Amino acid sequence: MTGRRLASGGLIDRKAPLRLRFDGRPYGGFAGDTIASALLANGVRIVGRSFKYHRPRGVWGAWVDDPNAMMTVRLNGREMPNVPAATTPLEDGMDVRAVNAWPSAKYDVKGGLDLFHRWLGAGFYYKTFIWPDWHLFEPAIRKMAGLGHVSDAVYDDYVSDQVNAACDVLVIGGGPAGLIAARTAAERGEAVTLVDDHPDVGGSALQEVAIAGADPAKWVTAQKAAFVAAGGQVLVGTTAYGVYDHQLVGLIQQFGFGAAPRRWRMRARRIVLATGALDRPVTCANNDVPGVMSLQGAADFVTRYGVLVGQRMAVVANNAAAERAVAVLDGAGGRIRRVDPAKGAVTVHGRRGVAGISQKGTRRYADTVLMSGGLTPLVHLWRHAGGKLDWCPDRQAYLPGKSPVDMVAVGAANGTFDLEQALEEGQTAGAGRSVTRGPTDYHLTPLWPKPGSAGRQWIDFQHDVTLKDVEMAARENYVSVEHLKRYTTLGMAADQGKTANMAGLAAMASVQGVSIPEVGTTTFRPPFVPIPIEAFHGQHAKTQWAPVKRLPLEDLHRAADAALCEYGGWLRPGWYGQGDQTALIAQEAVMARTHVGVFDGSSLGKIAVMGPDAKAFLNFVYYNTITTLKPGHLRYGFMLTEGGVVYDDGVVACLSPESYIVSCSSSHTDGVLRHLEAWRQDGNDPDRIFVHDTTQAWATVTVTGPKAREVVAALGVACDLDKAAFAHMTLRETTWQGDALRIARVSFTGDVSFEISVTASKAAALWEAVIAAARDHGGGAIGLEAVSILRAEKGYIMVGKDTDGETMPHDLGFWAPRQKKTTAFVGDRSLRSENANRTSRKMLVGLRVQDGAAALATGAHVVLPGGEVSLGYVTFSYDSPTLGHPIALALVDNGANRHGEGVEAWHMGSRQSVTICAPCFYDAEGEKLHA
Amino acid sequence: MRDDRNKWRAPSAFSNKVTVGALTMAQQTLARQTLVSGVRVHAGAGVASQVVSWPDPAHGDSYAVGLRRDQVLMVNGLSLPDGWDAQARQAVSDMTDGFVVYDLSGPRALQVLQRGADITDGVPSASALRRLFGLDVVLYRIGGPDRFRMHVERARAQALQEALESAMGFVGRKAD
Amino acid sequence: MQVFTCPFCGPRNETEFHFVAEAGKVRPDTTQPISDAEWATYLHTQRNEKGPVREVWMHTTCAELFVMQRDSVTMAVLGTQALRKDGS
Repeated sequence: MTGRRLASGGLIDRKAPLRLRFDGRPYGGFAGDTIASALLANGVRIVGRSFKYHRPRGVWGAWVDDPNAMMTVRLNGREMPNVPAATTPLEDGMDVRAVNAWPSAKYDVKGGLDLFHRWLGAGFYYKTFIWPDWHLFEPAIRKMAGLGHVSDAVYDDYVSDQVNAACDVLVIGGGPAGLIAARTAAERGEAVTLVDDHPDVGGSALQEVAIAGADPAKWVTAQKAAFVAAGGQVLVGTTAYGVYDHQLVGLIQQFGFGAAPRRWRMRARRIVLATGALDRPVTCANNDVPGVMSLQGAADFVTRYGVLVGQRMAVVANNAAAERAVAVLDGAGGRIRRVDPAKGAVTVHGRRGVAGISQKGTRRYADTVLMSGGLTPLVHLWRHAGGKLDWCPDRQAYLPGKSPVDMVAVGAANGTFDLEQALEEGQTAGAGRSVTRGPTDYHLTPLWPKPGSAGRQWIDFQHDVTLKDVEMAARENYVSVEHLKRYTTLGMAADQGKTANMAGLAAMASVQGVSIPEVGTTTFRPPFVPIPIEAFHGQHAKTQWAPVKRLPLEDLHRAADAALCEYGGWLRPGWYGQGDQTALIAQEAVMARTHVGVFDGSSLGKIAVMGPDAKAFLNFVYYNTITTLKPGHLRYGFMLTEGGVVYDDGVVACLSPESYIVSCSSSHTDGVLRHLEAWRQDGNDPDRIFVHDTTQAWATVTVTGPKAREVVAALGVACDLDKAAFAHMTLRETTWQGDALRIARVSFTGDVSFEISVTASKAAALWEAVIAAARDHGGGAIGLEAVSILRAEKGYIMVGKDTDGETMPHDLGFWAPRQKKTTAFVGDRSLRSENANRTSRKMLVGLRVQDGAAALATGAHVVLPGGEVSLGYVTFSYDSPTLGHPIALALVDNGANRHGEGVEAWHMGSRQSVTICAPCFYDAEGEKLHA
Repeated sequence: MRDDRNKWRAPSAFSNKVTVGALTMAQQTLARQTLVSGVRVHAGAGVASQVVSWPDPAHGDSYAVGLRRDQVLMVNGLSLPDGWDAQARQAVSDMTDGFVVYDLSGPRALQVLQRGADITDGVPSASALRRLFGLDVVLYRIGGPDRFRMHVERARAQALQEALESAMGFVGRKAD
Repeated sequence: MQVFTCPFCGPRNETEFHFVAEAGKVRPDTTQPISDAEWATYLHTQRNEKGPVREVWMHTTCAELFVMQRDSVTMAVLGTQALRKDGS
């Protein structure tokens, strides 16, 4: 005989019947059931198959401690695998299937695997299936591993609400001790939040006969009402899954199957831990048979769900706390036989369900075996917060010891199993005082696994780890508790060893001949229960994960059919138009070289550095000399790290002796700002230097090419653009249509080029005027792809592309400052190091391919002809539309001194002959630049 | 490079005003926003107008917002030339076009903000700068307890608006 | 997640902060000769103490650099001070 629904009792709503299917068969339940309680009520015994051996398994526990009833659940087109049946509320129409079983839990085709258990022990995959080649077996073994299966219907496209909240007191657990603590604190005027992972508060109160002389259900209702009246907040269906630094507690609030959970980041001034305790299994022969259950769990099934889990129940318990549960079962009409484990080892009989229990040769009939090997306080959150655990020999359990800051444990979580004492502790903690554990009536006869004893004895039900596995681990010297865990996988399943860890470390202690505290525990880590990743990131995903920066002109670029590309943290036009990307880009490059190209340079950093010490400051931060930079002039320079490595390049503009604009790479603005602020405040006088990021206040339109001057002139600015009047690397401030306009003559392409900046709200007007003028001169808009070819033809670097984590300015050909600059600058001493002066340093070069050969692969290694040693690599490679042949830039050992040398580019096994040359393929004399 | 034009919502597709239940987010146009840095900038700003911090609200049209110990943002203040002012010993940058401004109002507006930052009235701050939904914003109350103003750098305006819209969706819902 | 107190802004979530360096590192005068060992110590050597430490952090939202004393084991914050000479 198996489980059945009682005629009355439980917190279920018998007026609200629900339907479910399990493994294809229809069953009924009620609102308030969990999936597990509904199955038990229907007499379903086999709810799953074990991980490795595919042995039939039944429900063990009534809440988070159940390791066996893992289901794939489908409802309203949404599906989730690995749903724990014992903690999931039943909803109408749920289609439930056991994971890890086919076609059903009852008749699983892989049940025969258990016959081979001798060869499938812990860590078998380290020792077997190796010859002739592990890879032959690996796919099949991987396929059999794991529990649930992820189908297309899996529910993963939801957005989880993320709330940051704070309170004075967070009470975790709404049992008797927690309720009293919460109420006491609230009535003292503190802001209190009480959380409980069940659908309502009450906890173990339901198993009591009376609390403070009152009916337990009425007592619970009264406490909750008083708490709420005093301003307290109750969160039910909410699990505290982890405690983090500075009293931040992570909470997950559930809203039903298929509904997005809400995650709270709750900052509490103080925390009361009232998380209760769990029954331990008894490790004995055949202890995994369906029908072997937690004694407290069985009592819970009666009081919460009105389900009696068996008819003829053998109770194996070693502690007095069991009496309360036995009383509940007795009251529900269960026929109970007590088996005293102190009298001898116990063996469970049966395979697909309990058929009996024997001790010292005497076998008795039973259809259910209820076990309590002692209570284990749930101290996970205590440990997360850094609290210590003390081993209590009287209770044979780890109890909260030295407390973490502002956390107090009460009730069963504190090892206080007596109701009156638990209530007292709750009151003390609620009043903000520290709790001292009183003397206890709770005693137990230690009942730990006995290594060497006969029969297969399960320690970790979910990962199918037995006592023999622990013995084997010890034999192979995996004796540290952390090694034991990883070698046997004990405690590593979804239940994280809630019913396995204590037995496992006790077994290891016994094998080693040491005490349990000498073995210690593994590290407790969040989350306390499995939590979907979606619940952690919430809306901070997809386009909100790392949002790109948008250009002021983006709408105009879209209207011009731009391909918008993510680059350096910005969304920028890569090219314009639909069709053959390569052809479009090539056309843009040619147009810019022969006529004029217009591109959006608004993303370039514009950091204003101002103040009486601005000049000296920039001179210190830059590799190049800035003190000689006159107003109206620009200088290209490098910012180095203190290690002498190029951090960023850019152009500094001097507006006046106390006002400069640092133009850094688009991708580096935030980093450069931080770099400047750090040096400004540490080592300089911050009252005399100020740094403002004005990047976003200005939009920049760059005009480049032989017709650039004509296009700028068409704007009608009051500025002499003539070659003699407006030299390369100078700046003019003027106006355009009533707004301030800055024109910098600076080039990234190698042709005459003007960067025109206007206040961002006028960007569209400027762009449209420039584009119209450009069209009149045979030009138009060009994108980032074309620009990167043009600059590479000229040999202008892009930091991070043509430089790596070791590149120093002299590797790029910039020698003057390190030879001439006498004042200190960031990175200076590193440039004088041995490493900085090696001849084998990677230096920037160009590479020419043979006539008619294809472009090199970016990233190809440069090697000596026939060589196998990498001398460097290709940083940029493209078919130049301007020049009609491929060009490439590379970093090569001692490259600057190897021009003319023939080497090879090696890529994925094939080689191509190339010649090292100067890193400039276009206008090496600079005639076009200075035109 | 990869063409991601369809991955990111076009700026023109963002509405200037969004309402969810009793919550409203509306873009504001301010006449002037000026970043001013200097040793005595708080005192100087305080004389002319209020220096706003957290959680007390700004009142009126023209005020200064405290950002750093040596920096304020003047809202609708006097027009000052960009650059270094040797007399007043302060650095000035006109940021009128550099920040996009949103006002969020409604009885549960603070709860919307609490989706994006660890922020409560119980913890005051001299600075209105805040990391909200991972973005740097200037955030303060304006006019009353349930109205908040946010300045965000222009390039991040869409990102902030998208984040606010998601959070408003959660708070605007009737449930719980 | 930790809460640090910026000397100007007050208590803020740790995501607004960035570790800069161990406090007490002084940049040698690089206009004078400096041995390789001294420079390497400046660049790379960390005290990396277990327990109370003194560190320079930046509150990245307001860009303020400040000194924080923390306990590197318990994560407790022992104090924060402005870096500026006048402590204001």
